[in-house]
Amino acid sequence: MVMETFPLLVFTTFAGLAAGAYAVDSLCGNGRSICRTHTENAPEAKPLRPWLFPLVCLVLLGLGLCGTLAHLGQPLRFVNGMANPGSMIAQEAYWSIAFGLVVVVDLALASFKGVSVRPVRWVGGLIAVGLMVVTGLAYYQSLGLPAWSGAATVPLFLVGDLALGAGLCALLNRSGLANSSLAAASVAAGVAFAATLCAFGLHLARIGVDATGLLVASGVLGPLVASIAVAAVRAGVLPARIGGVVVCLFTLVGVVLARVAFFAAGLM
Amino acid sequence: MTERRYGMVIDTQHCVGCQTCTVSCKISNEVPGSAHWNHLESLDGEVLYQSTGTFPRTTLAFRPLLCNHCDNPACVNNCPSGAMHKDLATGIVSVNQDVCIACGYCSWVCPYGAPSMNDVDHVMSKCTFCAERVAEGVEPYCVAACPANARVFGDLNDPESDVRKLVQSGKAQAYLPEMGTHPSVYYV
Repeated sequence: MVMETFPLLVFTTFAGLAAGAYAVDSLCGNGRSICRTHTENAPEAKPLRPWLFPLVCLVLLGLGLCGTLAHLGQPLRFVNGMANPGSMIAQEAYWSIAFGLVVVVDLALASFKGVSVRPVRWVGGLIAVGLMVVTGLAYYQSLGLPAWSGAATVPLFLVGDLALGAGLCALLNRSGLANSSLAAASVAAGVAFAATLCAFGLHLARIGVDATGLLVASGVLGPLVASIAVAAVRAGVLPARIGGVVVCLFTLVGVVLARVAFFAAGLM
Repeated sequence: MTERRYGMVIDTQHCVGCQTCTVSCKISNEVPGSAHWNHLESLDGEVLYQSTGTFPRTTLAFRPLLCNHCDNPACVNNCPSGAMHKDLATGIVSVNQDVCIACGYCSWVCPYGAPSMNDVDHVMSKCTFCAERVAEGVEPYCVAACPANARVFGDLNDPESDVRKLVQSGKAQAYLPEMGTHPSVYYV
């Protein structure tokens, strides 16, 4: 049964990375300032690779959507999956397509104009939040699976995606964690994610399901290690570039562990 | 509101847990692979066929489960492809397997876990209340096969039907009514 949900883990993780990154970037603005070149002749130089952020997000979203196809018993009929607007699965498809279109526009503008257009990122961030919420709602509405129909389900996906996004922004921006707003966002998302893990664990305990081991591992490897890495960068103990890798990697591991626990608990 | 509203009352005090309904449904409807449209769970315990309580006050009772053909079916509301649909003439909920994308979401949102994946053809399948038999005035296979006569089938909109009388008397109660799906299967 866990293998049955593996494609969903792929979708929620990869699409969540992309959506979370857009949401965090629209607030913190790191994605557009990737690798600025600072030279004496060009003190206000343009970003070196403004296309990298939307390109990475587009690839991640594409990989995630491929994951959903692997979940379907009839993948060639995937277009049918958008027929009922009242279904959260169809809503996920609508929001994913809208998000993908904004990312494509962002990528095109960044490629041809050489800079990212801020309002496009804001629109992308808003749609990304919508995608994260409907993803959580799709699981929340599973009346037949008590582990998923609890109040912690939507925050588990929303906050988890934001934590993933903060990690991806830190990875893509070499000096990202030197930016106080991204560092603060990363720690805030980590703290909120840890609180959500506690709420989800309590919900599971209430219905007689135990996933404590995975949730504790998720909390330690994700929010705790990532926050320590952010603090180390801010204190000058760890280079920002390495810190970005550490934050992204451990946040990814933490969120994936939480989602493995989520899917396993639902299908126990 | 549908013209007819077919429903069922299952008497758990008569059910002996023999699973003849499960087998009869599986064979007669040629339900393929590991899919099943009927299944059984313990009425008040965790483990099927394990009694509950303390001797000498023990009980061994069962709740047969099938599609509840709800008035407000979660599977129909949440099916992304529209394959799940409710027949307004009979109230029977069915799946159009030519449209189904086999995402499995209907089985997650159904409080009764009724839709069952056909792992041979890779489409969702579910209880049809034996719609073709019912259209000919014959009761569903599970009702006809039950050796304990634990199942009563009929039109809940017909004031003279046995199911309607059992429901109106208050003897038969819906299972998980708090889910808000307004099921058409009731239990005594």
